[in-house]
Amino acid sequence: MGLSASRQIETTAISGHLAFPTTAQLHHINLPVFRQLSTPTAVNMTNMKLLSSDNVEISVEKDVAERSVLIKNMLEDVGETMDAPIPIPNVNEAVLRKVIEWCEHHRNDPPPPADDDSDSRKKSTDIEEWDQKFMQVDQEMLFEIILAANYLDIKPLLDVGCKTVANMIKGKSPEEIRKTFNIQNDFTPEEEDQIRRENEWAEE
Amino acid sequence: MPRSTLGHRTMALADAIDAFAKAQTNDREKFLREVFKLFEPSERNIVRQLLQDANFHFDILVNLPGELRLMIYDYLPPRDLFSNRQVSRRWRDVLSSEQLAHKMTCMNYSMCTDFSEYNGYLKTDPLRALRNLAFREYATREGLVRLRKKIDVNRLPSSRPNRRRDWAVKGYPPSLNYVVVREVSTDSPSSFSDVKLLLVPLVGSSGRADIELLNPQREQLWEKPFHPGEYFVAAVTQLSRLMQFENVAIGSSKNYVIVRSGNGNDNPNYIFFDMTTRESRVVEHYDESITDSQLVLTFKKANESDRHRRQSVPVTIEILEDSKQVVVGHTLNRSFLLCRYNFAECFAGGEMVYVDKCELPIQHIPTDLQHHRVRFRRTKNAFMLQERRSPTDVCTHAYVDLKGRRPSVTQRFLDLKDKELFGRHDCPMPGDRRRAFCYGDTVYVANVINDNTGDGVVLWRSRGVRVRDGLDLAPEKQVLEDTKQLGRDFQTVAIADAGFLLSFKTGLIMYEWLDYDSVEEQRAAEEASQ
Repeated sequence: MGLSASRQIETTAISGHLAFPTTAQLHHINLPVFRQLSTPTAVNMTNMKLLSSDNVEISVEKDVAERSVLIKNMLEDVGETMDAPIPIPNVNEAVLRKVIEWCEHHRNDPPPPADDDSDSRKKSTDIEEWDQKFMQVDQEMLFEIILAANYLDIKPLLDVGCKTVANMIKGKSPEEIRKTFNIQNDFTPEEEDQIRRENEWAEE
Repeated sequence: MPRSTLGHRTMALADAIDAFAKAQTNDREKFLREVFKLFEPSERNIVRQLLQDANFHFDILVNLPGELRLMIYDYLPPRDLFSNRQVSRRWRDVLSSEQLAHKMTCMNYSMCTDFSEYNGYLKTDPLRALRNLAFREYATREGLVRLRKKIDVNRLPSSRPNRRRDWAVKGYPPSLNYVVVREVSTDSPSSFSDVKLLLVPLVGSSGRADIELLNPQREQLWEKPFHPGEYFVAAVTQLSRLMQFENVAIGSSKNYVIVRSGNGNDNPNYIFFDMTTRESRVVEHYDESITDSQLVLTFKKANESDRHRRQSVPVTIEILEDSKQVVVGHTLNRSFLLCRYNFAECFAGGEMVYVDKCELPIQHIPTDLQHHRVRFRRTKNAFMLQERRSPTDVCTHAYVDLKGRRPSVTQRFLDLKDKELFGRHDCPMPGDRRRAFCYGDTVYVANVINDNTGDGVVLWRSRGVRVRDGLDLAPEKQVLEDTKQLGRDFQTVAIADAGFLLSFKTGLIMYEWLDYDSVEEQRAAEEASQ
């Protein structure tokens, strides 16, 4: 197993299609073999492990994992050597893999501007194509991704998540929103009359 | 079918499932699409049933922690918050959050000139502040107005109706809380006493009188560089040293007054006044060199006076109080340039720092820039650029959003001139009987009509504008009843976040956009009377 895995990585690297092994590949690789490969030539390929809330170890490249400010800070605090998996107690395997998939695609993104918070300007809800497709998941997964991005402190992913939800709401009538999120209208007729009177001007 | 074959096939399918489980997203998708093509109708039904049973829905919004909900509403207009309150009880409850309302109010309306009216609610009832401001925004699109003030010029205490030859609105602040009018008592004014400038309040009880603007030195106020700001009326007197320069422009805000005076356009002086500390600071010969429609600032004193410069006319200057920035507008060849500078450092002896610029094309190239009047005024987050080539021309407008760091043009010039805005019966008057103005993406045209019931103003409204295809006006007509008997001599229309002001030779009439509280009051009054 170890030998075949190492060969596999060499081939992908040479073919030029994939400069780095994918997470799926890494997952099946024995770590000692991989370590041998990754040092010292490819600095960015340093690997580390994350432990999801359901106790699944996921191997991930360090610079991908460091898209998460939480993990980045943790690594800085601990220092270079990090053999034990980092527990991510709030995120399960499926969600963590999804988040890592996003981080891998965005591994080379420039850091977001730091002074964004004070800005009072109205933000655009435009989402780039890849992210749009990435966010085509069921709503519970979307919810989990937003929570995970918040917990792991991955601001750009959190923004994409929030924009996705905002786009599901934007300009929609109450009935359309009920359909989108499968929500029961639980107002009594009197309440509904009252709330409509107060707010119906706001509909498109 | 032999049992062994069946077993083999079942195993192959099991392998396929195994392979599918391990496959990459793209391969899985490809596989699913291929399999779907092979479905029998009954199998499609099975899939449909499975999809129905699976719960893809999840009430994300109410389950998120409050702070993340705040982030989602960063991307939504305040109107949506109110509409969304109708979804369910839990939505209504989470969207009643004071924190959310507070944040949305500050984020969306803190730059509006009518923000201060609701500032009190921001502490006690932020949702009410937000609802009123959001409703007022909605009212500007729907043309929901009510009369705020009607002023008959002849009844103004300081006015001299018997001697009056000319009377005109000279300026107003962004909030439209007052208006400055100029009254001339002879055909050719020669002395200070021939011209009066009156400050007429547009808020408060009708008993409040107008105030004559007097200059202690009794020097004649020079009208051209004259600027009514939110808290100041700034003017240059004719004996002032500034008179040696052309193109004096004044801008003011709550705490600052800035005068820009340039000899032509080369190296203007900027004079800053801090009204709280009574400090002034002059930035002399500020070098604004112009190359190929670019305004390049070098932040240093100019040393070449004979540098070739293209013709540009400084138009106007406005202060953004919060950010201590000043915006200077120029017309330059075929474009209009808005340049922003930071002046905060000036009072500490520093320089004026260039922030950025925004260039707007002028679609109709004027033959003579001197006759090309461009003004810009501050309303909601924006400056309105108004272009009139002749007195009979209907204005063209552009909205420039300066709220973000980079200014963006939200609305390009609109040419209303050759548009058949109305049916022929409705527009029998020449062009000078109508005035156009914009608020947001709604264009209004006020038109003086004269029918059997007397003179009056009809307000036309277009909701939304598609500029690229020309102005797509589908006007809705609204008669402003209170305008009757004001005469036919339309002078100006002033537009602000609070409302708009129509001025005539014989009087002023101000309408304010409705807010939510006033609609509720009206409704309560109607219900009580029934």
